[in-house]
Amino acid sequence: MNPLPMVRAMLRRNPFTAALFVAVVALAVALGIAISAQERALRQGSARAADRFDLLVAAPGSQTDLLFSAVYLRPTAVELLPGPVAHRVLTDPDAEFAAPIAFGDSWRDSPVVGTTADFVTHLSAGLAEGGAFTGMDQAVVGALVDVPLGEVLTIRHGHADDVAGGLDADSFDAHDAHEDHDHEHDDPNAHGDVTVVGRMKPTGTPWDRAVVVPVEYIWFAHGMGTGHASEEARVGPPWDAALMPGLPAIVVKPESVAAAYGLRARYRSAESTAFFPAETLVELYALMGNAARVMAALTLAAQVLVVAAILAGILAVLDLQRKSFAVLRALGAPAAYVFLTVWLYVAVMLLGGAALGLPLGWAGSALASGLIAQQTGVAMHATLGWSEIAMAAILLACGFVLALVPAIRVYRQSVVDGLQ
Amino acid sequence: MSGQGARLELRDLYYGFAQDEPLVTLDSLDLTPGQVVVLTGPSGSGKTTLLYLLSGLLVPVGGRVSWDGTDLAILREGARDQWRRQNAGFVFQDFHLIPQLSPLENVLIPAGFSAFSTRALRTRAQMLLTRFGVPARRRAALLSRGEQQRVALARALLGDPRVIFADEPTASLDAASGQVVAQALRDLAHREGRTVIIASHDPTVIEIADLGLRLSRGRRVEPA
Repeated sequence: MNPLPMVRAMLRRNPFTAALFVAVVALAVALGIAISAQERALRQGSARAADRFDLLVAAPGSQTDLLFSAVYLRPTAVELLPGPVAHRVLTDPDAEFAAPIAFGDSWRDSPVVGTTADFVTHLSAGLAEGGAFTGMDQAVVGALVDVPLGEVLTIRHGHADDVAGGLDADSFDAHDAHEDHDHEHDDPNAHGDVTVVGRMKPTGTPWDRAVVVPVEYIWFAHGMGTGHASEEARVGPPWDAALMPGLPAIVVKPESVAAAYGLRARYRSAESTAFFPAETLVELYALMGNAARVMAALTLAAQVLVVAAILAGILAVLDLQRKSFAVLRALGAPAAYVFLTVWLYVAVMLLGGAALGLPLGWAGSALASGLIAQQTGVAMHATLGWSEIAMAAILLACGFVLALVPAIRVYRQSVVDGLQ
Repeated sequence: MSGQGARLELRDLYYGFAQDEPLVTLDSLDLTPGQVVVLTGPSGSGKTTLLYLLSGLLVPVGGRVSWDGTDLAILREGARDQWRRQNAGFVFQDFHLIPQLSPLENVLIPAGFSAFSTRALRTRAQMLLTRFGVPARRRAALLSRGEQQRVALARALLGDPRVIFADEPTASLDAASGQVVAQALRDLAHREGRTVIIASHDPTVIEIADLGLRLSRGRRVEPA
């Protein structure tokens, strides 16, 4: 039995209708695929971005806010960890290394982060060009910051959004309010200039868009000293415990797994908090996962409704072709032949829709990933995984079952009634 | 090629709905291979119904429709489909070709009812189209009505049937095309020995009949 010529003829008989059905199925599949692929890309991208942040220590407060500030460089207001506590953390013997993270300033659209040269090297596994900063007036830029080495940048107080929109999310604002600090430029928001001396390798994190300066620069710009005796011009550790300013966060790389848990326990106290970013991400993913599951279920339901609506349309189209099927039966076609013809006709359109929907969904997810990456700096790679293929397969399976309805209807149609 | 046709033995045929007037009732009809039988009568007289009963598309309430000893009245639907596939060809008033397919593809449609590959019958399909003077490759929708009916004839002959059923085969054609089709049907009976049963009002078709059967309200009234 070979119903394929008939299927081909049916598709060619109403090419616009067939194309419309295929397009609607493709869009329905693409929607589900895009949501699923995007959720995974978001998880993977955000997890990758937090990979090199083993343990964060900060003043007590929202771990999520800290995570967003220190790892994803999103402007949120966080308390400062007191200087003496920060010094203890930075010199803890259980830490392979500990690096201060100070934020709150910007250059154009790029956040400016203060830290140490060692952390820059740790984050980007070496520099793409130039060298690490060795003085307060030097900076290393992220891979996506489009300035050449040697360029002089004027750092502004606050984030680009803050300056434009008047938001106030700078950790150092509270301190600034009590300082009578003279800025070096006419612009009341401007800090001192820095010269770009190095460029990080791409990290796939928001740090690719950052201007990284010595933490001393941030402290000094906010009138908090440098953490060193005034005659010392050097940057980086060790800092003087007595002169140590406060810090929004410290990244700690523990010596061992046991040390990691020890450090976390040690700095969970009334004056500080310590947490693994991965733990916070897992909680966020759990929330995101619940939402994604609800969305996936709604999407699947919508897809099945789309297929059902299409089948209703197909029933109407098939009604117009009743006589053709009756003629086939009169010519000797077994009832199974017309059954298979109709079922395949629907199945081919569903398959076509699913086959188009998969790459369309992937393209949608890739587009969304690009837009999100542009906004957040978190590199995301949209991929089609088994879950998306399974989703398309479930829809197809539902569609194949629903396709039995028109097939059975034609199968049971009276030949003589069809001929009249 | 005489002897290719099938022999019909019809007895006490009755078709209708309970308590109503019978739609068709016929006490006997015997046909031999090579005969052209034309069923005539006014609209609603039961010509097409009788054609469907003789071809197994309808099952009589009573009686016997026996082709070479095979009684279609007692066969299940699948077996009647198979009988038609192996023994019968159908020609309709409106041709019922698939306009998107070429004449060749249309002729080959019945080949797909029982086999996946149509290759074995391709040469025969082409030969039939050549015989009826129809181009094989043009889209069926672009053919003249006469050509379309000849494609339908070729399609009916693909399986080398022993019986041809034709329902008003010339009604949609002009006189010249009708003449060609009528002659072709006559040749199928007289030259090739097939049994040809036609329901028609057309005098051109009635002229070629070896046996006429005039129906009125489902009953035989007189020879055509």
